[in-house]
Amino acid sequence: MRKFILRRAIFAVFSIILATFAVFLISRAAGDPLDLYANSGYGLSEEGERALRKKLALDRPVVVQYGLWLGKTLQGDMGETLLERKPVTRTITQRLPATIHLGLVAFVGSFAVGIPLGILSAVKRGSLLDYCGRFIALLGQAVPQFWLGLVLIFIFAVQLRLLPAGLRGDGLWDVKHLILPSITMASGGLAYYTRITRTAMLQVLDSEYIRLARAKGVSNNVVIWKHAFKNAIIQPLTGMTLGLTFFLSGSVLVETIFTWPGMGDMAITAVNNNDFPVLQGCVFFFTILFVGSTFLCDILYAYIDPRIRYD
Amino acid sequence: MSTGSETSSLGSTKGLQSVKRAPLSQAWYLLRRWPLIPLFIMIILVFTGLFAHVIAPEDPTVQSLKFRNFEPTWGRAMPEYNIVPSAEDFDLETTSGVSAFNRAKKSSFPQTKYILGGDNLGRDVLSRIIYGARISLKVTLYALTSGIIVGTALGLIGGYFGGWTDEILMRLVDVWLALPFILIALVIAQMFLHSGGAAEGVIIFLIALVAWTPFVRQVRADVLTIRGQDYVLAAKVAGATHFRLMWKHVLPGTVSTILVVASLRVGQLILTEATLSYLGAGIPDPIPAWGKSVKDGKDFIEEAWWISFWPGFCIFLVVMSLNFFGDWLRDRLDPRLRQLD
Repeated sequence: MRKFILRRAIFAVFSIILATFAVFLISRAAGDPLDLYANSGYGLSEEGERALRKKLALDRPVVVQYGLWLGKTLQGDMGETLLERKPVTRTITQRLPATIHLGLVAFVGSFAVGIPLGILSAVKRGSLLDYCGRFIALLGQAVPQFWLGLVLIFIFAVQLRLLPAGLRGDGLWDVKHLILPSITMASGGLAYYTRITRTAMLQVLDSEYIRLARAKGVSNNVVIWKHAFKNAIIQPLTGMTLGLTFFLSGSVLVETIFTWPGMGDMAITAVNNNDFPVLQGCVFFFTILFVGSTFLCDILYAYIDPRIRYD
Repeated sequence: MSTGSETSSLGSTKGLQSVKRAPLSQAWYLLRRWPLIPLFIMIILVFTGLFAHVIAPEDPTVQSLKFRNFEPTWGRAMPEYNIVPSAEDFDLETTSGVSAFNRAKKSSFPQTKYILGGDNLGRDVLSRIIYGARISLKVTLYALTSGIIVGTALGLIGGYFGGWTDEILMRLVDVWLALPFILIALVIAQMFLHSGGAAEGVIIFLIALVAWTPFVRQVRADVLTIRGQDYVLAAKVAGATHFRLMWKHVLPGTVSTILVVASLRVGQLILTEATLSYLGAGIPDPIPAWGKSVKDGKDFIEEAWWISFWPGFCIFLVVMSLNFFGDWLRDRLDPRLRQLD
């Protein structure tokens, strides 16, 4: 088990480095970064330009630049934003709670609804409930989040005037502001969990040991919740890792739609303003969030299902 | 959905004797057994994509300030908007090659105009949807094809050779999936922003970047079982080269998997393309794309819901029928793949 954890950990660090380096390369290829700091046409002398270049280490090879950036980042210094000259670390840590807040609500919501729905749908196969479950799964996987968000805004904010169309409100428990964004964000994950839980449960219910349990005369509830559920839950749990992608990439979309003041919103603004340090920081955090949660899920999965450790 | 297995077992037991059903239940049976509605939608999509220039009632790029956010006419005649060319319209002064008379004629109001409304620049929503189908089709087709080729090749190589090659390829796929793709795509698209937006080729490339990964995994899994089969080993003993083994003996065994994965993937690719377009990293401006139309209407959601509703609804319908079809195909060709979601 320890070896397994170690291997996954090394791999996680490697992924983070690769992802940030990719973005680093791409944004460096986008043009001379010095132009972003100071426009050479506006009274910047040649010596001044050279000095600035040296100060920002832009005269070194890209790999060295990346190494410098990574070293500084690990010390908690990500440079300054280009627009407001504020420390990137502070802007990100200001925005991070909002993103995690929304992401967690959507994640827990989709998990808490999706898994029971999937199980009931499998147990009561062919019933109306099953059709509903499958319909929801189908719907959630096909509906574009940005469109769903707009439709929800149109119905609940514009027509019925029940809920606000955007912004976070104040505090963790401002439910009114939370409802629409979290539904929009949860749609994909909900469908995904319902679907894989249903499939996994159907497979388990079809297996020999369930038949044996039934033949022994174990009551239906015990068969489902004690015998089948435990095995059926493994797949959705691994799916959690994949589900997290929904929420992280979803945060970019959902936050721009609902002007939710999180990192996704900030990242889009940074892209539009060509604010490279902010973007780099966002990518760093997104990758850490994603890789970190993948790592945790992997370990959880290996803990639940020992077969995994030996593959 | 998974009705395929139920109905197919039904079909095999009662295969030869024909079952008499009431017409309604026969229709319901057919709908359950064959993906008729999704197929119908997909055929419409391909048809409109191919013949967009014939079907579209209006030019999707012509703007008119007068009809900004124009309400859907639903095909009703709107005689009050007909403009009879007046005397001064017959002058020969032209603006960008169009005489005033022709402009006036253009602003007369045929029944086919604004059936689904006009957008924020007075463009015909229906025509933009129809032309958008063409772009969606084109982008996904190219991206999917390149994804299939790259993914299958890598999966074949990884599964066939095994060992370090396999390990590196699989880790590469894992790292790839950990990248925040949307942000990277936005940065890349941003690079082209100063030169008037990314060309279609760039968008196709971006979509292809996400298209290939599931193919590597599934094809590799298939190859791992196929390469141990007797007929492959026999061919190896007979002296077949690696390439011949992979191409002639292993690859054919993976075709059904590739088909299933591809059909399950198309919908996601269309969604990705629409998402990028929505975020402003998609197809450059005059060309209509569904995701972009949704974004156009975003700021006008209060007064003109139809601008973003209809294109988004089209994305939804198309993706849903593609997923439906993919599920059906999977149940038909290879129910084992059911775990792959």
